[in-house]
Amino acid sequence: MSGPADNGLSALPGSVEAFVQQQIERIAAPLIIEYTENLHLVGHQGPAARYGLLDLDPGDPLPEALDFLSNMEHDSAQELPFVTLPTGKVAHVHIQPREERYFLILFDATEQHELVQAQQQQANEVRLLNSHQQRTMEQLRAAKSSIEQQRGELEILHQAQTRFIAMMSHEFRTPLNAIMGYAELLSEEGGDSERLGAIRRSAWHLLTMVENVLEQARLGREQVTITREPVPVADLLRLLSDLFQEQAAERGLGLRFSQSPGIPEKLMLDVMRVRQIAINLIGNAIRYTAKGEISVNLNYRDGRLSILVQDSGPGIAPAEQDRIFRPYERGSGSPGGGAGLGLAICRQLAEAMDGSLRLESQLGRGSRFIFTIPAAVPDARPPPQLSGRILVLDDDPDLRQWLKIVLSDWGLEVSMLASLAELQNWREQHPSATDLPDLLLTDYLLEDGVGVEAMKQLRQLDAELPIVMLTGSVPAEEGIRMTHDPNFLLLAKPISAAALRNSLTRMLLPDHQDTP
Amino acid sequence: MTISDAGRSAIERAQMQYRQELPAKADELQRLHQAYLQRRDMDCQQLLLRQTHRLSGSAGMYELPHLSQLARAAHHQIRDNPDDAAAALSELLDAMRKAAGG
Repeated sequence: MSGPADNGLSALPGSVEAFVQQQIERIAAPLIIEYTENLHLVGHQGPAARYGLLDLDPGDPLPEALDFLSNMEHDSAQELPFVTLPTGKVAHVHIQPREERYFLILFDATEQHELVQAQQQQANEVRLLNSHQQRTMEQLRAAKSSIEQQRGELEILHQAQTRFIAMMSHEFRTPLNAIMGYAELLSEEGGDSERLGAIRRSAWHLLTMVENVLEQARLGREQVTITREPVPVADLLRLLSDLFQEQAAERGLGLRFSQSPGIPEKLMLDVMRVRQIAINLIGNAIRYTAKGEISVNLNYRDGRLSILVQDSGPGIAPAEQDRIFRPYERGSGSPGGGAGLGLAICRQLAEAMDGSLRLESQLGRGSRFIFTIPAAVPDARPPPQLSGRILVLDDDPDLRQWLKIVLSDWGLEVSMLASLAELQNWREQHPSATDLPDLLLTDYLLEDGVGVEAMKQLRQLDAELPIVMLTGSVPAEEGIRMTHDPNFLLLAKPISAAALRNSLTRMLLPDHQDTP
Repeated sequence: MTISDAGRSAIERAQMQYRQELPAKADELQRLHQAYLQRRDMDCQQLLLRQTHRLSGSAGMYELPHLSQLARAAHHQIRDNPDDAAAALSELLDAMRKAAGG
């Protein structure tokens, strides 16, 4: 085994050579068979029995198991990998002709063959899996495309539905307003007050339902903007009492308003929204109660105002208590009428004010709706003196005039601009950072763009410039994104002077301990 | 007190002026709506949208909440179903003309 090709290895010790030989014989089990040109056996060396070749006697024809040799060339060296012998053994077959002598050499390849087959099997399985994966991916892509298409169709349907609701609601509202107006007029002229009252009540009920449908359509596509201002609690109670006392009396129901001791005189509330919720709850209580009494109680604890509306009506079964808060769902004991939207809207509005609306009820024992919202006590001190320069950007001359009056009245120095183009000119005339105002008050929608653009321009000069944006309606997504900015306030139009002042105080005097 | 007496007087004067200008604004809205109906002019629709949007905001500030709501309803109708906005707009125009006398 040694020689020049052995890369300098000196002659191997006999024991190493013997070991290598032993391993070759164990693993490859070489069988050498010498045969004649006419395929007769001359002799053999090696484990013939391992290949199932028995009775290899010199001079005999080669055994049948080696018949494949008859189809082969014997004049040159041949090699046949993985030949399966009739005995089941798999061998690498080599033919080596040497000077008129022919040698057949077999190496046992059974294990190697099994290994290759296993690898092939594995490769086939991988191919199969890949093919499955590809098919699954195609199915997923098709499903995704189908879902997107369905979503698009749903969106179109939703828009159509919203448009339809808005249109139908309006078509209802216009004649209803006329009915109510004429009924009022006839009543003033001395008409049959009982019958006219019935007309007014029915029209009012229908109008409320239509308003709810409109509100639900609006809630579906616009962000709810909450504007809090100081509200005298007694005024709120008085308004609710004035609205419902007559209606309750006509149905023979008692209606009692109360407030728990310790409730502050004024609270910071979005009065429109609170009133809307209370009106819905009290109106429902009157509608669903045949006899007895309705009580409305206000209490205040840990900075939260609760309005409790309790009735002596039929109560609501536990199974229905969640359902009645879902849009277009009504309780089974409903006396008829109503789109099933009032409570759904109320709960959405309550949650938009970081509050809650829940129900406690037992069949036969009446219902109690509890509406709770955070409500800070307004600052009793005189409002802090405001000062500073305000840049107002609004394309509506009427609003500019109103803002000019109130802002100047509060001691603020006001500059008025009507468009982004005017802002550009203003910036050219006031290039220095020291020229920047203390606050930008901008409308969201301008004739030549959006207020966000003005905000970006000025924020390039002062990244923390306080900005107050007024809006009639802002796309919900953008609204949410912008409200993450601590130096930014989004206020819904119309806004009261008190709410605007409160907001400006927060922005211009951040250290002032103000009510939220 | 949110507004001083002088500020309150200035606002009342501005309110009066605002009310006096409402009929002219109503005429302009009516003209735009007719132009839209005759020519399906998208510019007219955009102007209608802008003006009802403005009106919805300003009327509320000038303490005319009912007008603000009607303007908002008309705005939605013109945006969502402009070919069928006549009733909403007519209701708004009536209210604008009445508010001028109120």
